[in-house]
Amino acid sequence: MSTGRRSRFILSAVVAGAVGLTAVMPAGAATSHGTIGVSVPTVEGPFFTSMLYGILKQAKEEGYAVKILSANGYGNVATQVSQIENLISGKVDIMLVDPADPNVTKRPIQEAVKSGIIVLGAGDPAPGALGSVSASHCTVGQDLAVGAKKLLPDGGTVGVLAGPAGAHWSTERLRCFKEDLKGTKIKIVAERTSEPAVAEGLSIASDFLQRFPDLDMLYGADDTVGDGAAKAVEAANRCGKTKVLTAVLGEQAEELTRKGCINYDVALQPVLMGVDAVKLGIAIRNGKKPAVTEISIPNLPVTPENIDSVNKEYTRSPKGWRPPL
Amino acid sequence: MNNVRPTKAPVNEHNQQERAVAGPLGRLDLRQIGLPIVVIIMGLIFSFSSSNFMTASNLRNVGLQAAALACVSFGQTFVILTAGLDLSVGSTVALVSVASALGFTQYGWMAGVIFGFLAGFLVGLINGLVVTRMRVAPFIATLAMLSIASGAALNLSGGTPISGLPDSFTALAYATVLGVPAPVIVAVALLAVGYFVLQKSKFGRHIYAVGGNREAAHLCGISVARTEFMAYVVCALFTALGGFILTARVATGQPSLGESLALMSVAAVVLGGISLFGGRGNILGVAVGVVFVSVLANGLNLLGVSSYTQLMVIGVAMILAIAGDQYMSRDLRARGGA
Repeated sequence: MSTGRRSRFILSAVVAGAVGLTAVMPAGAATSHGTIGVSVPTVEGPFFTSMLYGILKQAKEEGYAVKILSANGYGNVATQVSQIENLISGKVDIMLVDPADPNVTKRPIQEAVKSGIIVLGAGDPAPGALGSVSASHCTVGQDLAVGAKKLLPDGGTVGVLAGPAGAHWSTERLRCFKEDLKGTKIKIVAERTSEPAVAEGLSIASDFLQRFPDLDMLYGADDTVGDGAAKAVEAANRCGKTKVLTAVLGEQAEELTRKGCINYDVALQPVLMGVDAVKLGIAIRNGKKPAVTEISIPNLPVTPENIDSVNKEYTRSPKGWRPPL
Repeated sequence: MNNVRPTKAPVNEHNQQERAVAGPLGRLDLRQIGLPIVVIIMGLIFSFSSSNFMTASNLRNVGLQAAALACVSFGQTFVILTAGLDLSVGSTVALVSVASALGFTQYGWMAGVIFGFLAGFLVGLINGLVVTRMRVAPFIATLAMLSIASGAALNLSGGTPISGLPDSFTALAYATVLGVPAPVIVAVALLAVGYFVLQKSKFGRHIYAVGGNREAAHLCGISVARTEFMAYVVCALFTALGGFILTARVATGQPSLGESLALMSVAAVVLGGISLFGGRGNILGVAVGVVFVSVLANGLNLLGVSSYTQLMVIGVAMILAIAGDQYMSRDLRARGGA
């Protein structure tokens, strides 16, 4: 094939690919009361999967289409800014934002509000937004501290898997956790940040257990790293000896709690956050003035002893459910 | 007079044969017109698929989102033209972001600007020295620098973003001049500088010569090592400008900023027609490559295509562009070109 023909072939292939791509793109809803745009730092992990489940479930009941944009990582703050701007251009009616960094998203959120979009924080407060539905991360940290004191009444050593560096939710949880432990005999002997991933948690926790073979407890900022920590403890045959304390009750976290490898889980209710965020957004869009626009969803402490009696309806999405991306 | 159709493509000033077609518009290099045509077609497709694509506010967004990538890609062009590669551009952006934020918040505007450019300059200096003096392959040298710069950014910031930047700086990201966003103006100015340097200056000719044929360049009396060294320094300084733009946009010094820029800048450069083998291509093509990548991402976002699929699409586009580049390079060598 001559060079000219090859060039034309490649060019044609690119154009054909582009045309083909539009053919498989999701069609807009035929009839819809409006569109909800969702901007999240990531869709990895049970928290986001569950919150998206709640959003999609409630949006479907209300007759709204949903557009989900993920920045694919807490470090991709510039991507989240671009995605919020794209949602503004896309003229969504309601925007739900879980900011990777609230300082970064404040300005584009304010622009969105100025353009007439109802913007709410979902999962985390979002400065600049008209309201939010979230768990107070400081309260999560304080609840984790309650768990730590129950698990180690006489004090002990803790290794901290702090979650992503600089992310508001992980920083806030750890800050309040440490504050509530002041004056106790519980001491943090190691601390590492990482992306919220099970593999990262497993690797870091294994390192901690190598350095401190008699470590009393591992703190996982959420159940991605928490599950990793529990698996490391299980692999070292130390379930129950090295206690694992974490937040968010995903499928794997529940299984590990039943095994006794997670000893205290502060279960958030992300499904309820998603549902209530949609309800609040629609209420505001319909001209109602809700009495409370900063809604804090309570947490549920889960242990191996009470796991069967806790109402888990809003703690996670149905087994096997995945967001339609 | 007869209209004689040429039987052999001419040799351009860089000693390379152009794959040209004769037609009503005269000789057109397929590599130069192919991507702009694709961009236009893509724009039309997105316009038909989304009523929000061809609006002033969306086009402004595309420009804003492309500006930092453009600066980094123009810098990457210098390195790739010498047959090198700079994988550290993403971490350089992060380091510049953190260094400038520390300067802004602790010592003021001037310090912020100086610290940022100094951080970029140091990265370029070290990359250049490692490649030219220590003779480490560019891929390895800049991969190592990726890690070093990233670690440095995390160390300087303590792993957390630095907020409190002056409003007068962060406002620049959204300032406009005659309706055109300031970052776009910066990127266009940098394109003009890059074009002038590469096409009209002695240094630019040396860049093409070194990338086209190192031995011949050396025999012609060109300092290959100095030319390569300067390419890495220029790349890092251009990248630093991209770092400033992104830092202003996110209004914080972020130790993980720009993570995807290495891949995206190489994609834009290669799509824009710069050969990975060096010595061939035009920085104006890189601008088109940046537009392609940015319009693609923006259009797919507006249409609700998942960001996972977007990554795949950009990867496929890169493969097609590089495959095309390799076919043409083999053909050139077969014909006895550069």
